[in-house]
Amino acid sequence: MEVLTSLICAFFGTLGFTILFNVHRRFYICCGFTGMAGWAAYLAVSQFTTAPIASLAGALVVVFLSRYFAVWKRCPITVFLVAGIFPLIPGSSVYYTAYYLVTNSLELAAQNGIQAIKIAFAIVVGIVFVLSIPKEFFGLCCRKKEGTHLK
Amino acid sequence: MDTQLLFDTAMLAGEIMLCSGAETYRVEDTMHHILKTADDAEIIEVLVLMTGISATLKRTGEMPVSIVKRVASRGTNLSRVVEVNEISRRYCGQYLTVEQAYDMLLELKGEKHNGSLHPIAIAGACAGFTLMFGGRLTDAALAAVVGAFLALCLFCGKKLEFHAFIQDVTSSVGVAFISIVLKAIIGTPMNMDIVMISAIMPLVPGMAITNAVRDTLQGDYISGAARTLEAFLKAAGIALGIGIGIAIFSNIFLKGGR
Repeated sequence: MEVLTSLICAFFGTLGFTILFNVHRRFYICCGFTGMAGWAAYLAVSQFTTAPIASLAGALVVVFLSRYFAVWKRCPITVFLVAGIFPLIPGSSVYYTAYYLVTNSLELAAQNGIQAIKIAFAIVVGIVFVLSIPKEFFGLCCRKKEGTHLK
Repeated sequence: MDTQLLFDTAMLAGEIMLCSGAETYRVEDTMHHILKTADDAEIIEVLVLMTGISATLKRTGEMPVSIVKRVASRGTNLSRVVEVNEISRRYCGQYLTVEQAYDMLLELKGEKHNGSLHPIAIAGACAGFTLMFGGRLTDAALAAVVGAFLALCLFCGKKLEFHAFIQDVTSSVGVAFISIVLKAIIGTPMNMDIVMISAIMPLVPGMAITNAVRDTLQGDYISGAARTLEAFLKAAGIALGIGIGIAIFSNIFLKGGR
């Protein structure tokens, strides 16, 4: 039940960002779904490993779906990628870094700061990995190969 | 085909895209495609940086044309990126004439960004993220209030024309302030950490990180490095603001710790 609530909220949280970035209405569902799927992957993997690895898994799902939707809907990948990646961004680590710095727990602050950087790099690796899949693969998935601005 | 009009169309398309948060690579690609429709072109060069565009077109029997365009302000408006992409694709597929494409781009540029939904979107996103991070319904409601206040801070920052970094700092100080005040009023039912974490999510550099990676991967190292720096600066600004906010206001409003 808790997981379900959290997934639905990930959907609407991501939707909030799509409105904020002035994305067209016809992409709302896809954007929300991308964010939700990424968060689902994060939750599933974080049962077994650390947050950075889970973020990597989430990022892989988000970028893969974004590329798929970009080819399917024929629009720039940025639309789905930017909104979908938000649930994974290490906002809590940034917060705790600041919090522990102020409360003078320097060791915990350093720990959280490094954690934020680790998660950011995990997301970057995820993006790099999926973006290096040749775009023909996604063209085959959708059977729509025309257009040079895809990707 | 009129060289000047073609060139203006390409420039306009590039300018709108760059102002709306498209990756450098996409702007270059789009402009290149538009300029390539001049069938007797000898030289087509497009160079796009985060802060400006320059392009050159030489057609057989004509002098080369070059225009440099400085882009001062950048925001995020993804629907414009999509629209320009659409127009350029239709133009390159010869469904539009260059005049039609230019007029559509001009119209698109003139459109005002409707921001009336932003406060609701920010409040909604904050509430959603609170529940996502494991907060309860009370926390979500409070996060929505904090989110609305954050929207106000961002609006004021924009009106006062703060530098982006200063705006991040002041907005996160605002978030820390209102969260601590709410905590002081409501007390134990509120999980201040989760509320504050959700409330800073609209500020975190998600856009900068993704675009930095994409630019760097495409070999646009200058833009990539600039955007990476932007991402770090944003994160540092948020941490700084939250830190300042907690340091000052928790001593005033919350006696005896959290």
